[in-house]
Amino acid sequence: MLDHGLHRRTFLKSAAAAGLLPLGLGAAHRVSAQESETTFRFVSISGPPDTIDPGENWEGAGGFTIIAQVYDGLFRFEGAETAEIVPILAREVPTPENGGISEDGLQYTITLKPEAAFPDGSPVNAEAVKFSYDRTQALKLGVDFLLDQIAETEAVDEQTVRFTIKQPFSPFLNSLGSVFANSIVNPAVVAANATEDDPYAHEYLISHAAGSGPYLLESFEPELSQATLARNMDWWQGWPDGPHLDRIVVQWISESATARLMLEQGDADFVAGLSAEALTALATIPGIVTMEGTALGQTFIAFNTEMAPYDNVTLRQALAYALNYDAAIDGIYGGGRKLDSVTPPMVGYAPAATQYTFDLAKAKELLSEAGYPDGLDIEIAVSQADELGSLTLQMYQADLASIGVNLTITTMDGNAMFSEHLNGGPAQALPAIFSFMAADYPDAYQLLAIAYGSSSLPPAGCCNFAYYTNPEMDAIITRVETTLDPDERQAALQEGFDLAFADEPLIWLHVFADRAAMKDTVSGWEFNYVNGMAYAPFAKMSLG
Amino acid sequence: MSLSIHASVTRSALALPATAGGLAWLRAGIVWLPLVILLVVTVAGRALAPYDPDAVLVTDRLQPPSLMHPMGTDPLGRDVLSRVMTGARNTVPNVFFILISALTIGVLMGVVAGYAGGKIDTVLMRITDVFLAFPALVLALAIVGMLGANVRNAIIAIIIVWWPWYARLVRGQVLSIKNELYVDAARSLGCPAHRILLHHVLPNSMAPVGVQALLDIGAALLTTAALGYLGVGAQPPSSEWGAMLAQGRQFFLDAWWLTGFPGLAIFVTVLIFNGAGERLRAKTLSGWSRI
Amino acid sequence: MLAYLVRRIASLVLVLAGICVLTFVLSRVLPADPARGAVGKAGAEQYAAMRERMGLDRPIPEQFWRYASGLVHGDLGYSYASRRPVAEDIGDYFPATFELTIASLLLAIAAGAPLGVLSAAHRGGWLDRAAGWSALASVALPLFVIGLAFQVIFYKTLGWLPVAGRISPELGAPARLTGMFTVDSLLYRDGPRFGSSLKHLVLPAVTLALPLTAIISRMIRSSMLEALAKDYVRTARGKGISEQRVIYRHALRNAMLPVVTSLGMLFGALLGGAFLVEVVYTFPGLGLYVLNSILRAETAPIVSATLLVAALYMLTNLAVDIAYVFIDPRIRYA
Repeated sequence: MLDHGLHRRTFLKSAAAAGLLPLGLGAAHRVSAQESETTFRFVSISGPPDTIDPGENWEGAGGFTIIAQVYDGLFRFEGAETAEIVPILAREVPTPENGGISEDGLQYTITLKPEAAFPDGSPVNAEAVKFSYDRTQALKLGVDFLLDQIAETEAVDEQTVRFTIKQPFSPFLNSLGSVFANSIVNPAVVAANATEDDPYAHEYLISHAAGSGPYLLESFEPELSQATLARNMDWWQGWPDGPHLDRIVVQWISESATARLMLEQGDADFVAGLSAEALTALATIPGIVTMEGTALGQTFIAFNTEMAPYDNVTLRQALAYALNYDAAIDGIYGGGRKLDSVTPPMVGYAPAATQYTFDLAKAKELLSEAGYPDGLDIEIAVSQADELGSLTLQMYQADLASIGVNLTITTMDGNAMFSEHLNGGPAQALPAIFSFMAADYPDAYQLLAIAYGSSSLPPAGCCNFAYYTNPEMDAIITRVETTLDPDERQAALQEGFDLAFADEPLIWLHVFADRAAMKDTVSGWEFNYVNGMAYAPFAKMSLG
Repeated sequence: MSLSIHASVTRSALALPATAGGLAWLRAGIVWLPLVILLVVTVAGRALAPYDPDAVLVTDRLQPPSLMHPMGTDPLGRDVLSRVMTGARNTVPNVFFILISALTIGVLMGVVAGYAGGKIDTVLMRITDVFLAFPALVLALAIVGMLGANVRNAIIAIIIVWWPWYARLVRGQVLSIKNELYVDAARSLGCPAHRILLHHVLPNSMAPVGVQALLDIGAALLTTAALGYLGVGAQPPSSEWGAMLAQGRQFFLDAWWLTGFPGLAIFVTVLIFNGAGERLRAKTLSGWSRI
Repeated sequence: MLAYLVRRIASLVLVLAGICVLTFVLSRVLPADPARGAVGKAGAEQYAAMRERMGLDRPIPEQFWRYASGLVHGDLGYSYASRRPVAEDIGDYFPATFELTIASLLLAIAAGAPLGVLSAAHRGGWLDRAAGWSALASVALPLFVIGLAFQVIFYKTLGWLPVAGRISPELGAPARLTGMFTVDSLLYRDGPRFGSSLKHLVLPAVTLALPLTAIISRMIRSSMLEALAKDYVRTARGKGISEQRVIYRHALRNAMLPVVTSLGMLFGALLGGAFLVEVVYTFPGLGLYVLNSILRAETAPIVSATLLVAALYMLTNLAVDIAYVFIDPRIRYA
């Protein structure tokens, strides 16, 4: 399993740097992780993941923690406040200037780092990259939706990959930085575990890893809600000197009180996904550090714009003025950033021209204008698991009652809510839903297109929950997708945001805060704006 | 916990050594007075509550118990005491409804099975066997899970799970009565079956079942609350006690009063009903000594 | 006796078949869509593919036939949430619930029996009264409130006992024999794992045992009182046998009978309570599994787990009835 030659290289690199060992001694001895091994206990407040097959997993809380550590992608995002795309397996970011992006914008040519390799020694070459992308597209398990733009992936030569896309699509490069659908798997491992019915070894990869990342999957026990990662001593990037996290025990605990107690009692080193109250309480405890940041999750109320009376623009605007944004964000959610555009600050962001504030007088005025001077009855559905969303709607209900609007809150099982809302088209969908979504990559285009574009209408596409169809908006989206001129792109985006807020098929509430806490003996941690608290840069961290 | 077991504990716990006769009124008061208070709160809770139970005031959220708010406030600033008081109206009548429905269905089935005998009896008893094969909460959970999580379905689920117990009980009674002399006499006089059932069999088999039902009120409340706690019963913004427990769950480490007081309300109510049921049983059935 | 057994087993099979139909029918009343649950927010093509994989587009009788014939062959369906056959899932989760239930039962008998005997022996004394009132309280308190209170006391405040999982994740599960961690680690003389799994079992088991202790102690007390008033006891006393012997040799054995008879029913009540306790303590057993399956609208796990619980419950009752023959020689089954 260990490639002697490769391993020798990494060992010698560090030994030579330390100026310690004569070359002859470097050959056989493997730096064992058993001597004074550091175990790090990471707890995530969520359920365990169903699958860690990168060609399938699309959920941000569970599998993410594992996949981001055991697999590499061509690019990843780094940065605490904004997202910078950084080449990982790729040598550099392709641009029109360096020839990486063709003039017609249809071809992306990426050169790989020659030293990148899997733990068994096989190289992470163009064949492996092509194989991984083809595999995800062939499996058709949902996350391939993110790769819809790719017409063909080619291995031009050993170190060069070329993506050909169906039409010029300016966000394409950013989309490659998402952890979802962009992990590179080892074709040798897949081949070794493939069967006739399962040529892509999907069954095997559901619970085993085949990546080139800094950690190996030592065990995966979803029935016990836990998994263990071990340091990949043959990591092609090499481990710098100094202490590292040798073993990481990941536990998924769904009761937040329990997870919090574990940190307090010292049974956990890091807990991600805490509530605002928990964070305040933990901040007073010596030895514990609390962290808060905003990631990409956004809450909204979507109205079914094909169903009366929600097809009435003025009514929607009235309802938008009746929501007490600040009380919800500060009081109920305990923090977060109010949305003044379709997305929070990221590539392409700009505030929309129309803004909504909590103004009951204005709401009442618009209500009359819309034709409902005496109020009306409305209904919004929310998932049972969304406790804060439910509280927000209850507050909204009280405020709406004071202007004569009678809101009925329908609490449903989350899956049932989406089934009913998405399966039968607008006529059989729910009147309105409260939910949240997150961009998969930090480009404002993505949410504009999937929330407002007619190609994202359910049931065929995802995720235009408001069933909003407006040819003007579709034209804007197409302009954003196809133009290569950055100024033109931004102008089109601005038009899109303005139209979105003027028509208000969705009321955007806020980007919610992501909260975590850890022992103060942990160092090297950084917040990742795109990945949130469920991800920690384990390879850069140490304990004690 | 299952019904008859519950009853036996209550009975034996309350059947403590008798105190002197002079304090009998005090003993009675301990049981009946709380019941009266409970019923008053159930009916008039909203009028008696100090605050509007639905008044949202987010700035006042999660206040610990104080003079202003003896039971604290919830995450939306609503007064917990007021919600507990109005919650009685959403909780207690449900329990009565469950028992009356389960009793009605159970008695009907049991009487028919017991009196008709033969094939009808066998079929009906097989059906009850199927339902009795499950621990109550497990089946109720499965049923609500299938039908959809709300208070109406939770009530339906518990009724479905409980009627077999009563059917069995009644059938047993009917079997022992139907060969009694007076029934025989009525039959030989040419009395039609349905009259025999209505006037002779039914009244005599109802008594133990009725008492059993009274003692089961507590258990019914606990089951309803359990479903609420699991999130498959009443849904927010309802002030039903189980729903309040479910909402308070995520805050229980920092705001213990959100689960503490509804939990206490459930506890006290169960105690009151158990006590009252036991007293009633003691008064009405002097000879009834078996489980 | 044999004829009785045969009849009981035949009846059991019949009832199981009925349960199978009942739970399957119920599961098709589902408002939630398991295909949607499995595929998330992805588009129509993926959704349709998933529906086909799950066999949801076939007519209902055919779906039932597939399920029922699978059952007979030991195939309990497939869970899309855990990506394995339900049989494997149940193989992992059921021993946990069983372990919890048995532990609670043993605890409750160990605590409740002496309490009941002493209460009867010193009827009216302070112990009897105290036991009586606390019994009343134990059955009136909701199990989940007790569980939450224990977590705060024993974990947050005192830090003595853990509150999640079955074993420390660093140790991992012991080598598998029965699937019950305490038993397996004991059999393999795995000290650390035995200690860890026992520590994780304590709080859930005690929580579940609390109401049951009350019930058993009161049951024994009342049957002891009945037994003590009986003629044979008077005879024994008259013969000059010490009070101790009277109680323990004569009255107790007969007093245990009602407990044994009710064992089946008590076990059933325990199973229901176990589900609740598992949720409060995140103890990965059948209860948590069923609840999660309900939330994900997965019918195969719900139906199979419920079937298993029902079968177990009925088998327990049958075993108790048979055991009764040996305990009380006066009983004969035709």
